[in-house]
Amino acid sequence: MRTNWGNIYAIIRREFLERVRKKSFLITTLITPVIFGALMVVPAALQIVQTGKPISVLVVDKTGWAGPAVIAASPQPRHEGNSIESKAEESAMNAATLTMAPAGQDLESIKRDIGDGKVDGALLLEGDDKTDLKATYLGQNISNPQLFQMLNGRLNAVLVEHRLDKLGLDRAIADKLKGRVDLDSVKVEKGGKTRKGSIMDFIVPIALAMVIYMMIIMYGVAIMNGVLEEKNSKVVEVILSAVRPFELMMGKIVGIASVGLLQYGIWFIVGTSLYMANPMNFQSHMEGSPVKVLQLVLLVLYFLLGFVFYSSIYAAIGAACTTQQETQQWQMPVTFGLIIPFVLMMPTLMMPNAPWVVALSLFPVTSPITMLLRVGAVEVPLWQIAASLGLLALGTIVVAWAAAKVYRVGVLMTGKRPSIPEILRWVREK
Amino acid sequence: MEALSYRGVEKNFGEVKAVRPLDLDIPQGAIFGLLGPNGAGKSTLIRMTMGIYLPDQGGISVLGQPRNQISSSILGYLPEERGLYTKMKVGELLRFFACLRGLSTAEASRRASKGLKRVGLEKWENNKVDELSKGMQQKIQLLVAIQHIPKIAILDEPFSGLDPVNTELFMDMLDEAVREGMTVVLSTHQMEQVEKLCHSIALVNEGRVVLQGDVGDIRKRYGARAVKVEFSDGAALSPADFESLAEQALIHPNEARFFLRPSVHAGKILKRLLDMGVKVSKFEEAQASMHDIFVKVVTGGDPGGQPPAPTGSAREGRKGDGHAN
Repeated sequence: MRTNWGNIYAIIRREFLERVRKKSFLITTLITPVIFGALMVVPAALQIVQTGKPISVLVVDKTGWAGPAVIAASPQPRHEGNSIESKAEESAMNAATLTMAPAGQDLESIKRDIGDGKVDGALLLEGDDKTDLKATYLGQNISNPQLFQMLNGRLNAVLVEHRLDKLGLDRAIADKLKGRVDLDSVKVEKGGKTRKGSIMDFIVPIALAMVIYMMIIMYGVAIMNGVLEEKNSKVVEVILSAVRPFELMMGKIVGIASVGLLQYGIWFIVGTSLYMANPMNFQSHMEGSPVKVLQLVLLVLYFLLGFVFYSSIYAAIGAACTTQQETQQWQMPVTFGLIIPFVLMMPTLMMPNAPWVVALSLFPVTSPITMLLRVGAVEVPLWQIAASLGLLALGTIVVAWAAAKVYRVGVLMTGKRPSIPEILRWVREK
Repeated sequence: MEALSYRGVEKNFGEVKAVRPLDLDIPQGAIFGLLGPNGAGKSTLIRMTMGIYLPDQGGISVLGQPRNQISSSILGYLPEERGLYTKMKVGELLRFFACLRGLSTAEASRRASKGLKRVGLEKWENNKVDELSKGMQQKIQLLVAIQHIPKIAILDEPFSGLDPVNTELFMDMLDEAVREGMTVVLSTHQMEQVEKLCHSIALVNEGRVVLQGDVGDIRKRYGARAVKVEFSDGAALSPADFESLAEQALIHPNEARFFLRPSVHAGKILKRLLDMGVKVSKFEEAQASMHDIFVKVVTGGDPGGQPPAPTGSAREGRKGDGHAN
């Protein structure tokens, strides 16, 4: 029997309309960006906007020179202007108030006060002939990187000042010596074209990989549950009396993928227009977008192939199982294929041309995510992209074919859970 | 040309022989009864007919064409285990299935409303399936099977769980469909329906056709040779007591049925009973019902002259002296 496209279309249509009309689709489409926005904005906002009173730190000075200097010091901000970085730095600067410990109070009683919560912490400054300054922070909470960053900044500024003073250098020369340099990054592309790097260069590849990951997980599992539901409600027998299992499986996958594309499309368009609506962003956008057309094309290609690849497996799992609990143990190994590239994300971005990274970006299981990370980080040779896509397409055909076999047998099986050898036999059956 | 024709069809599931090499012809334009006990292989046979399973061996042809070359619009199916998309609206569900059977969207809409009107559910078109009662859902299931007016509709236990009113409605609808030229293959355990509806039948047991033909002929063939007795104290009776007289004896506490051996007169049964001191309250030489024939063939012997089926499925020791030939 030839593939009946009319049937596939009818199934795609049903899956798409049934899902898009559901209230839950509207709700997730509206809520997800809000949650994501909150996830990104709230921690940053919390860093910038100080809530609660600053941390009180007593300075216990045993050096005789460092204490007052540390309290008075205002280290040069590393970032200037109105950027998020400089705001965070500024708020870090105000995160704590430093005061000299009362002259009479000894260290033991200060420790008791810290333990009792009367004071948040103490900065103990010591020094001898060999080490001109040794600093220790004592506090109930010693896991506040912002505070340590601030204290470190002040201490080092004071120490440099102190050493320069000891050398007896002219102030003007001393100020010159203190000048710092900031490392700028410039991205060099094919043909020597350059553009200034930004934090977006780091975020974009991760974001693209995230999108693929989320879509495959969200909608792949939706396919699995859909198959399971059809199987358990017995409706599958009526459908299979009219269509071939492959048509049903493909219709389901494409139908649900369209729902996913619609949802991400909505987010993309709304997100982009909001971004462009801000004149400042628009300007910086015109200066050189870190999102290249190639990346978007690859995003769509890897999504389509990766989605069919993974959701065929999910469909087969749904067909082979009878309960949701059963599906979970099968899902685990499948999810690994998506999680491993994420675990290796940092090394991937740091050495995007290392042999093992190249291998991962060619291997169909991991290639959708690893290749998107690489493409975001460096210019990947075209042959590698072509090979990666070709292998993924090949893998997808093989997996979809095997999954359709498992699907065909499994979807009508009830009762006993099949073993792996049994499932392999289903694949070999004609 | 036969509606359905099976030649050497065979299907195994691992070690289980669900359908042994089986030949069967189902004529066009009538209601055909596909009978058999649970696990006889009917459902497997039906699933192969619907293309859900592929036979391991043999071939199925539909209206003279190989099974895998026909269009899906030719067949309609009501499976034994009901299944509908419960979250879909009734009208949409009907249209969806009509489209899968090759109808255009417009035609699908027309058929759906017509069908709903026929079963009295036109007001429910925009309700979700799970808001319907079981009986209503079964009507929808029947519509899914026949709304596209297939040439052949295969209905597996369509009457189970229906109240008498809806049973009548279903029977009327099937009659109408047959008058319009549809062939209906009815798989059922309810023998009264078979007697009322079916023109001819095939009885399947253990993956084989053990009896087939015209219902009237079959009843005639078996009917004259059955005896029905009612009594009040037959607890001590056993089929062995009647071995020389009856091919098979179905004995219950207050009644019994005997299928007489050739050339045995019915009176001999009565005499034997009276000799044994049984208080007989009613004795009739009745034409065997399809029910009797079904039970006799499945538990007892094999009237078709084919080798006897293994007797693993005989239940409750009701198996009398089978293997009559």
